[in-house]
Amino acid sequence: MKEIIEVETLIKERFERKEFKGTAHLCFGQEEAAAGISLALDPEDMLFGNHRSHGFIIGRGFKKELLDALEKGDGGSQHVGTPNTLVNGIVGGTVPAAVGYGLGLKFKKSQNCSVAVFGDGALGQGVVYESLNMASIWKSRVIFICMNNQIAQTTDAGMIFGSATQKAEAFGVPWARRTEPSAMEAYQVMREIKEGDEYPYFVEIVCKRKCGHSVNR
Amino acid sequence: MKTTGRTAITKALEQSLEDPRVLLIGEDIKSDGCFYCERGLAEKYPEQVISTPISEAGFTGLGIGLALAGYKPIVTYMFFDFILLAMDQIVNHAMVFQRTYKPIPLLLRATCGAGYGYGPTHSQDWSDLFRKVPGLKVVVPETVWEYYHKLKDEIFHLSGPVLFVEKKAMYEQVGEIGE
Repeated sequence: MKEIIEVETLIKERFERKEFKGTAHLCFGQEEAAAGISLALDPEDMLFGNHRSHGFIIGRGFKKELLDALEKGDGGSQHVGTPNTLVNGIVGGTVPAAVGYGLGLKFKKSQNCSVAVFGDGALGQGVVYESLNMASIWKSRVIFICMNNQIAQTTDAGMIFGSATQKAEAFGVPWARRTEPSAMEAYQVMREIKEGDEYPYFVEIVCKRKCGHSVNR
Repeated sequence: MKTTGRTAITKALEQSLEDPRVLLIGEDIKSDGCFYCERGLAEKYPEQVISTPISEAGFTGLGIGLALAGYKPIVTYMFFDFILLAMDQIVNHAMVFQRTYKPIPLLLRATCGAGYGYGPTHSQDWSDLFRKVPGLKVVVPETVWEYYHKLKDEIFHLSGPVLFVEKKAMYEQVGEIGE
């Protein structure tokens, strides 16, 4: 967690010094959950993230790849692929791939899981609901993680979305909610799901983003 | 051996499914497919033929995830027009992951063309639109021979996203496929 904050601070400073070009979406305020979730995953578990995934990329040990992507200046930190963490810049867009990956794990009788990380903003995307439906009917080995930082870019999420977990419930997907969890609490909820081996599962992390939407050159 | 374009597709799919990594994904394909190209395949390969909800974007993304998990998904669109619902998954995901992550072996099959009087939303040929997508291979077979051999070859050598375009009228055409 300390490392996530250090790297995030470094990224912010390097943008301020105009050493990076492009854009990056910092996750100050969300690092506890990212650290705990990352730690709870096995290296063979595949995580599909969104634009605000620094915490997970660093948490899973790919600090160098993250900084290299920013250094390269070609799409920055929202287009990073590391062996077990793949993030992309379309809100909600990687969620069906996470379901497909989890289905592949089920076919292979693997004990690993696939993880789809998205924000509250993604609750506006139809493909997320298509994904919840497919995961539910086929029992894909996927854990949906909604990082509900309560703000969709600059719009108060309360104005545009209802409850995240009610949406999971509508698709028959069991869920858990943790409000501003410590890294240990986030770790524990993920370990419980992995050990329970019941898929799919939906986790809502209610948190606060303590920075702007993005830093840009 | 002489056969119809439809049987050429069925044979190519059937032989490809001998590879357990090959999966057929799409609407109605467990019940023979909209144009009967998948007739009998679900009985022979029940684990590899997956009928989906009516969620083109969702099951295209599903195919991307399965490709990343080591499979060779053949994502089938009932009508070419419907692929437009999956444009974001193809352009902003499959093609981007090829650049930022690793190859996505994914074959997209779409049917188009006139002759049935289906009109807009069920006949349009969007091949030219997809030729604008950098890195996407667009294959438009023109003979029954090509329906069989090109489909088999593309699946066998699949190493990135391929769009395979079929014409409804060709399903009735009779031609040579060899052997």
